[in-house]
Amino acid sequence: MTPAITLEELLAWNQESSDFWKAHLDANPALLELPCGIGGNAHVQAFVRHIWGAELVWSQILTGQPITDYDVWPDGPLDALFDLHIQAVRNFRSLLNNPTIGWDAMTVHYPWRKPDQPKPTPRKALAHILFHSQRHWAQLSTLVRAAGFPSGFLGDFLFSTALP
Amino acid sequence: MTPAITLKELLIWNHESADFWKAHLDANPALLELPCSIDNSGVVQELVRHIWVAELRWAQCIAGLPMVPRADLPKGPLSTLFDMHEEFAKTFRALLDDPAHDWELVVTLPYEWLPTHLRNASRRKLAGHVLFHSQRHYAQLATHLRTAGFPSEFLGDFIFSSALA
Repeated sequence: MTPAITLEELLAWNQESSDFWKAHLDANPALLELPCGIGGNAHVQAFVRHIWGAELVWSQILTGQPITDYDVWPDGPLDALFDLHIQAVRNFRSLLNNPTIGWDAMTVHYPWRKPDQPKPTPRKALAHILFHSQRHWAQLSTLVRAAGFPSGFLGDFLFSTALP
Repeated sequence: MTPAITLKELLIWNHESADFWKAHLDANPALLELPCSIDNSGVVQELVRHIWVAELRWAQCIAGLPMVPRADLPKGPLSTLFDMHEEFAKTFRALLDDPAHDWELVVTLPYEWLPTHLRNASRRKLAGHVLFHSQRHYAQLATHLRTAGFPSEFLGDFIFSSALA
């Protein structure tokens, strides 16, 4: 068997990280107003919106649904942003439970794809968005610590309970 | 088939990112001296050292080899630090090419700072851990440099990787 990390495991890790930040930001709402230049987002809340909004959009792309436009995503509050993540997870799960998906077929079209870029496979696109969130959570952890508010986030895969 | 990303693909992505940073820091050596608090590293060079030291030591752990103590590993220059990444990749590739290597074997980690329930981990999990550990730190490094006024143009997202279609 080729050693691998399953997309199910990556999704479980993704949920652990999202759950941590939802709880941490619920408990420390002032952090949402901290300035933040990552991804062009002015403050932490907009950055979190970017992370969960991107999850929703990619989940819609992967499941063939109409994309919820960036302008339509709620700006807040945090609960409404977390709903974007919840919807995305529901879509990811339906994808993973669908036995007919051609995981290695280069079929994924995303609207901002440039003509010279090939269509990625569903396998790559799903991994991309799951890693996208993890990379941003790592940046957020650094940002809040640098601002004087360490979060205690244990974001490394070692700390995940997604697999033994 | 359970959809998954193979460790081989993750290793390719890892290489692409390491190669980018090696080239970028070779071309912009002053960046290595920038203050950097990520992982309490002090300066960027120390963060880069942390990334590649971790790769080497985890590869040794997964291979069942003795882990070289952190303090015994080089502090610089960049090319010497990169050698640790190269050694990691060589060890890792050899393990991936060995059909007898048991990736589900659970290893007990001797780290008291780890919660008890996480001290036993499969080699497969440790492999994922070290490969993602580097990517998470590269993402932080890219943000750090941009914030300091030196954007790197790092395209670290997996969608940009040529590891798979």
